[in-house]
Amino acid sequence: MAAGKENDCVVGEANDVLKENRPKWDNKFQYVLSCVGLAVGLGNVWRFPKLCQTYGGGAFLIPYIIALIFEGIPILHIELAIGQRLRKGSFGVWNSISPYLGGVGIASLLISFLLCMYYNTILAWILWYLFHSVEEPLPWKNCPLNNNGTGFVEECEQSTPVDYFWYRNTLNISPEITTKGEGQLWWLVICLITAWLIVYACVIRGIETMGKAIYFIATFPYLVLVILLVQGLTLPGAIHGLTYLITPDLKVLTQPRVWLDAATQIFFSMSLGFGGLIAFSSYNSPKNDCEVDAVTVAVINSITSIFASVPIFCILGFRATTAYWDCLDSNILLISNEFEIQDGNVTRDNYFSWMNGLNVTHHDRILALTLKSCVLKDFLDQSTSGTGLAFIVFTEAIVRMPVPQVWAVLFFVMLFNLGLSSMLGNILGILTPLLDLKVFPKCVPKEIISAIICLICFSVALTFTTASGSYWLTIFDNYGSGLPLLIVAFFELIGVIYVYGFRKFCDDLEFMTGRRPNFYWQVTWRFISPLLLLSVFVAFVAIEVQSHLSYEAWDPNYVEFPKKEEKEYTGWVEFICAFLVILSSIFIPLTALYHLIRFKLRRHKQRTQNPFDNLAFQL
Amino acid sequence: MWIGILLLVFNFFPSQGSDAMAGDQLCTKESPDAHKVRISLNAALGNEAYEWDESEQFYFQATMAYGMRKSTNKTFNVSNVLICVVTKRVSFYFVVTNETSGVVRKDEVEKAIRMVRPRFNDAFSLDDKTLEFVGIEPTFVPPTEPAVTVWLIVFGVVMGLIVIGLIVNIITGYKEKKKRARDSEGGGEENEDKTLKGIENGIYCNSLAGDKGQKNEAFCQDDDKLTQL
Repeated sequence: MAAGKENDCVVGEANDVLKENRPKWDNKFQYVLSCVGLAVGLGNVWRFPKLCQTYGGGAFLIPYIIALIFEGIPILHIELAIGQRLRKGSFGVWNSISPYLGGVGIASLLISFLLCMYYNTILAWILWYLFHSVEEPLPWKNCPLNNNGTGFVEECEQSTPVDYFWYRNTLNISPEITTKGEGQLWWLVICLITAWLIVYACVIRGIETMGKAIYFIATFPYLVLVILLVQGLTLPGAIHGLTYLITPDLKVLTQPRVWLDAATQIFFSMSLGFGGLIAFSSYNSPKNDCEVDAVTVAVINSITSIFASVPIFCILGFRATTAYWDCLDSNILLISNEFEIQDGNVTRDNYFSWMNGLNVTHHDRILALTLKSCVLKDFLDQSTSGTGLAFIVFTEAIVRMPVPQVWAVLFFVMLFNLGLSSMLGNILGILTPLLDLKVFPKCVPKEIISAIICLICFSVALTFTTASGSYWLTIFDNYGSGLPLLIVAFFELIGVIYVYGFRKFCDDLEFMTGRRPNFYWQVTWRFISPLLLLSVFVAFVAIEVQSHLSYEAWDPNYVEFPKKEEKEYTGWVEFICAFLVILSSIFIPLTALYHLIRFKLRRHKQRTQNPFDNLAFQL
Repeated sequence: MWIGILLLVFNFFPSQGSDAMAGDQLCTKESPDAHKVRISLNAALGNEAYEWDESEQFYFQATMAYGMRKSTNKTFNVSNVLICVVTKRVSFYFVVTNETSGVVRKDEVEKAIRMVRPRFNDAFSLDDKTLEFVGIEPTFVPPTEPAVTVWLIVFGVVMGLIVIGLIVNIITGYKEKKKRARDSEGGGEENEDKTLKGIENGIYCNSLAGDKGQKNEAFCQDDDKLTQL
């Protein structure tokens, strides 16, 4: 009889899904574009190319792709699938799987919060440069004159105009992290306000507004990359940059550090563990092929990194070549003046043969001339990563290009969009769980909730607009979102595969996509990815523990200025670093402990009650 | 060709008789009032570089004399400017003599040069770097301060656009919410009936899918006990 009832079951959306009134994406393309936008960020453009070049160019792709296949794609698939199935933000999802795992959701939430606090400051810096990109001449082209007009400012003379504009005009950087400074720098504050207003305007009603904005934000960077590629290939010296990037050095694969860096790069590049991807997929309809989505997003992310390296290194090669030529030219001038050689006889091509000749005949006079040593490779080695690449090296390259304002505007708008798309995803990773948790009463509209989040993050971010702000930002970047993410991702994997149950998960996937996961997913999810994550985590900790807790300071009074001085963190700063690491991760054991204690207390309470109480009648 | 120029230069002075001997002594490398000049024609003009010959030198002397006239209001002639030690670089030393065949002091010459420097550069289609007076640094042109800081204008424009966008966003959101509230009040009941029809007392297949959990046979209802719809 009961069996007969089963055959009468109704196929279709469960009632709760229909009544839910959860916002959803306008179309699939919007969803995939948002995921791609979250994954593709500043790191793809200013971290991957340098890594690729450092670790032997083409050879680096081997550990990179291996990490992508065995670590990146599996974890990404899990996040998208679990969000789509359980239709909640990060906290709701992990709470649904098991209350003991609720801490993972809290950790994701906190990490996203920490990231949002500092990430927008980087966008504020980009805006500052963008506003200045329309000036003629570009403000980072020439040194400013000193007070009595007899020469250039000394700090600028000793370093370069681009360094001076970045460290002095933009950051007004203090020599140490602990110097108080005179409070907030007003120009950075207004740029920060602008950046936060833009973010707020895009997430004001969650994915309704964000979905429309993402069409432009996520696609514009690709357009600029293509334009930069075309321009970059035509610049003189681009070929040097490309050969520097691509020259494969297979020996480098024997260093374990390469594999660690490839694994961490894949992991951090795909924005796993922040809860943003779970939030995005929770707005999907349950019957969506998340397997194809996961592979698509991961592959697009990696291809973007590889594709972005080409124009970046073309332009870096151009910059190194022109700097090399300038070095040669100044030496040639010195020699021509000293030996009264006709101007135009010593050229860049025959400079070295002239030098060899003169070294033999007039060795002492050559020595007295203090010629600079001009080696192209030294200039190529100067291409760094991170903010140094964007604001120092690349801006110098832009100055040397024809019509620099156009390239500057394009470049900084591209960077802004790359950062904005990641920022929006992370804000949504905070907004979605908060909305699901119903932390705020129903009468509070979504606009107010997003305003509160933006306001809190903005107030904390004001500390990054002080003179020592950029040092603090580096701390937040290194310790707030490095190690905790690995921990969260590990527990995500274990939580889904072993706590939720692998078979149950496969059934869910069959419901959503129409097919069970194949051998590749089974092997990676159950064995390879957790093991890989564990070893990455251990290696990461081992390396961090060995390295000194130090930072590089820009100190004009340093003996070897313009080299950066390595200073150690003082006691209370170290404490803050440790605090940031522990802050998010501690909630995982804490929540488990809390639920365990509650469970034990409830059992204890039940046992001490009247044994004749009929529990069947307890409501 | 260069040897020819050198010969011409050295012949220039003797043809002036006794003055030439004095000239030789006045214009030397070690003279405290001599200025060294370096000219980089190829660097400045590339393929259009002209040759530095006797006429160009004459032009230089004339321009220098013009500068001295402008600066001191005294009559100086081409013959007052003496050039020596010309090299292939092109570089040479020069001194300026006054009416009494004495040498004009270094700082007065320097004053004259600074006064007419732009005209000097233009005369030879060169600039401060390619027509170099050793020891006389070019005065820095102070960077032109724009009337209003440009970046604040750009900032203002961007900010204005954002604020407008925000206001539009908020207003459309508010309007849409009101519309949705109005709609759901009116047609809500009909919709509910449609979706719930045939589902009451029904069980969704996907909720039966899990094989975890145990069915309590005691609570299985018989079909005939349920009221049919």
